[in-house]
Amino acid sequence: MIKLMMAKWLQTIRTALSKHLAYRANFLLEVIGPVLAYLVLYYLVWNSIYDQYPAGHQINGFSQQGMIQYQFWNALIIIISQSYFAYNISEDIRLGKISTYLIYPFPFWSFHTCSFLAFQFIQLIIGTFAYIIFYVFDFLPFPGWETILKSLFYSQIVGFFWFSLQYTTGLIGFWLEETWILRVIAQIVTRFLSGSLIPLTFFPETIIAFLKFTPFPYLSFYQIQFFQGNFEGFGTATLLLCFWSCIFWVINHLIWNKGLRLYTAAGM
Amino acid sequence: MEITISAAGLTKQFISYKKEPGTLGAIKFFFQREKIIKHAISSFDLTIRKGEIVGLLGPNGAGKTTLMKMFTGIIVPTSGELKILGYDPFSRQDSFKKKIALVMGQKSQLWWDIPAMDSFLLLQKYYEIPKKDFDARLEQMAKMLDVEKLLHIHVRRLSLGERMKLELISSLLHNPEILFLDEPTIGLDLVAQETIRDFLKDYHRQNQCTIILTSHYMADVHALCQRLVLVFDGKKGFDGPLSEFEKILGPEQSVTVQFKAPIASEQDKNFFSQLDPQWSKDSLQVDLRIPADLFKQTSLDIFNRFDVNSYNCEKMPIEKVMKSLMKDNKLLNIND
Repeated sequence: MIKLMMAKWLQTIRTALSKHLAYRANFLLEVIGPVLAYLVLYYLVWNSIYDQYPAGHQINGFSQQGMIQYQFWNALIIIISQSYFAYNISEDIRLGKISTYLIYPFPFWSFHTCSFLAFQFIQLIIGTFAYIIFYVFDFLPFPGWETILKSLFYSQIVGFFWFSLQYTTGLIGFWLEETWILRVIAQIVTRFLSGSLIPLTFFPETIIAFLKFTPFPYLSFYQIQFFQGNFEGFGTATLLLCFWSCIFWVINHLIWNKGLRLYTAAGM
Repeated sequence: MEITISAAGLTKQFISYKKEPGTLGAIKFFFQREKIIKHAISSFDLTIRKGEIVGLLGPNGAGKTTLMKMFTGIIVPTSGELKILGYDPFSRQDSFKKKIALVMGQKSQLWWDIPAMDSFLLLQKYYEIPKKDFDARLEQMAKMLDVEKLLHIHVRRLSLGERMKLELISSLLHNPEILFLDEPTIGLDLVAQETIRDFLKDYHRQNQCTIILTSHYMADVHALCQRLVLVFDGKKGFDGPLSEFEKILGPEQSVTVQFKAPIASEQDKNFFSQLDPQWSKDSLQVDLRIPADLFKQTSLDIFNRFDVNSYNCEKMPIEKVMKSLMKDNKLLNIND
């Protein structure tokens, strides 16, 4: 039984890999383009901010070099942990494409999870190349193998949480014909509260204290700290993210069952 | 014989909202929405036995595809009972899914961005098909449909006909007990249509699976279906063998008469007025429906009165019956 299930998962991951790699130009633009744009923008913005101050000036505990490194680590974790599947899922629902999955003896959730795992694998390879480039050009240091491996392990948990969040947003497609505004809001809020746009040390203490009960700070800020070798709160972050992933898994299950009763398979 | 599909009082309602045209309509629609309940299927009863090939016919929007969606468990009925091979399709058990297959002519189920072979290998795992069986079935069907060379080409690069052949293979790899075909020949050229029909006939003869087909091409229905079920406005209009369907408009003969010279005078044309005449533009040819009891006398009268070039008669073809019913479905006496 387990062997058969494993075979289904492995073959789906293989197929998803082929699918992701089918269009070379699109793949490069989709995966590398946004990160590159983000990195150039933030590099220029933070440099121009720090250039207004004398050398060695710190802003909320970050020196100019520290802030640039923070942004480079951040770019790296966007590559290896953050996926954007909500659009595919809501499109599948809106255009009636999930009908096919409803007929196959393999669950829709499993199919998308396999697709996510395949994407994660590709992202990991791209992330490795990106890190080598950042290291060679002296934007990032080498934090040691133990730090790298431990942080990569944590990145996979973050990646799974992102996927669960995206899956929930996508399933809203059962109720809303257009989910793009919801997706953009979710993405901006998550990025902002996770410390991806601005480090959390810039936030007021009370807000930071509150955010620690939510999954947000563990998605970027803590992850960057771990890559930098500071593993304070590693256990709590891992447990909390696993807990929130389980919560979202239950929510997704309930939404799926409720949504299917409304599904009309339009366009079929 | 074993019953494979059993529906009793099957009903499906869809809810939509009325929107008036224009900007004002859009603003009004934003604040106040008038609900419209559409009865896609109403109190539908149907029993299909193992091995039957049944054609679901009806005009666009009649409810054929809605029925297919309910039969395959894609959508949930609003009320009524439905059993497919003893399963409640909406419970979507894997054991049920392994016994059915659906081919949609208007929607590809193969992954667009990869070769069909990759999709087949995936389906082999999903349906847990032993490798030996998989290889044998794939080889046999690819040979029958002459697509051996297409298996490793990206699906998006194939023509519609080639893709449809591969869609058929993908749906039959697991040897389903029921095959649902929703307009499988739509948009295909005549040769491709015939190839698919011949393949389905051969497949059915070899495997004796149950086939439910919807199609607007009467050639599909004529070639494949032993039994027809007519759907009009979500209700069953007719359920019986093809031979009975052809007699729906009465025991009439369909006749085409070709004249040596155009029939110009009104008096001559009036001679045919009781026979539902359909004149060609040049008035050289007329299609008639002649009641069986008047056939002999009417034919003699035509030959005596006109200079006839050719005289062809046939049973009422199903295409003509369908056209007549689509113009006036009261002929079926469907109960509201």
